[in-house]
Amino acid sequence: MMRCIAVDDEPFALQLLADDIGKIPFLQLMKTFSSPLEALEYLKTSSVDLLVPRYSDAFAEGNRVS
Amino acid sequence: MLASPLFSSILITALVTVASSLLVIWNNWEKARANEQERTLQKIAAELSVLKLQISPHFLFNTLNNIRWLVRSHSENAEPALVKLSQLLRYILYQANHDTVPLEKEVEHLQDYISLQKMRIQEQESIRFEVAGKLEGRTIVPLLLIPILENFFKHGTFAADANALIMLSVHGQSLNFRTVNKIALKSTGNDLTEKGIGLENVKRRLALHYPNQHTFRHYEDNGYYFVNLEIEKI
Repeated sequence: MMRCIAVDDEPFALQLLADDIGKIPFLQLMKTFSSPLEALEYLKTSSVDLLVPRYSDAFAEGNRVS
Repeated sequence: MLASPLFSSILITALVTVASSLLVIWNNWEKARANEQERTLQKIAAELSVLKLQISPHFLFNTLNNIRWLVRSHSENAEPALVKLSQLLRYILYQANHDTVPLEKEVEHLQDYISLQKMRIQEQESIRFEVAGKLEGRTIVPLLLIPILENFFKHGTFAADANALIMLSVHGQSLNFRTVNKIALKSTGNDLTEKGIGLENVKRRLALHYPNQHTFRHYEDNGYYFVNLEIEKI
């Protein structure tokens, strides 16, 4: 199992992302975040294998998580 | 008197030459001025069409994505949301080509835009949209107010006690449009340059369409953002 978290400031997009991740058998969604800063806080105390950032499309660039 | 016939005819010829030269010069100058004006007009027309198109692709894709979630979760809100999006696109594609539109149409468009933006907000009751006064017979430049709303939703936070307000009122020939929103903590790294573009466009369109007939102020005060637009004659 890969432990992962998802980050997106759009609530519906975050739900879509969470739902998609749920369909992949080897992914375990630990938590979702609406802001990269909250995710960063979480990462200080927990370790994850995969970080899924903001849903992005042709026009909207994802906010960088750094 | 030295008015020999020869001298008179030379004088007349000279006068005619000077006069016709002046006429030609004046004509050219007039033409150049007309060209200059034409160029200025074309420049303004081009600028206007660009400004009109500043509807955010980001908003469209976010809305589509939101509807995608409604569809996946079998929400009964999916269809009304699609209808609103379709009305909104129709308005942008067909109505916005006109120089001015009936104010009622623009207000309907604002309503569609607001309800689509509200989809993603938990505390939807915290946003009030009020319309006051007589809209009939008044017209407005299309899509003028949308960037103000874009700004409102992008930077506002809408908890139950946030008391966000959008208000449009007409008094006789004058229009007042104002918004108040609590400013979201800038934690998601929204860049500030983008914030400027929307309101800058409003400013330029106001200067082009309602020169010396408007006041437009926007400022931050105590964690809230205020936008206040007054157009004297619409």
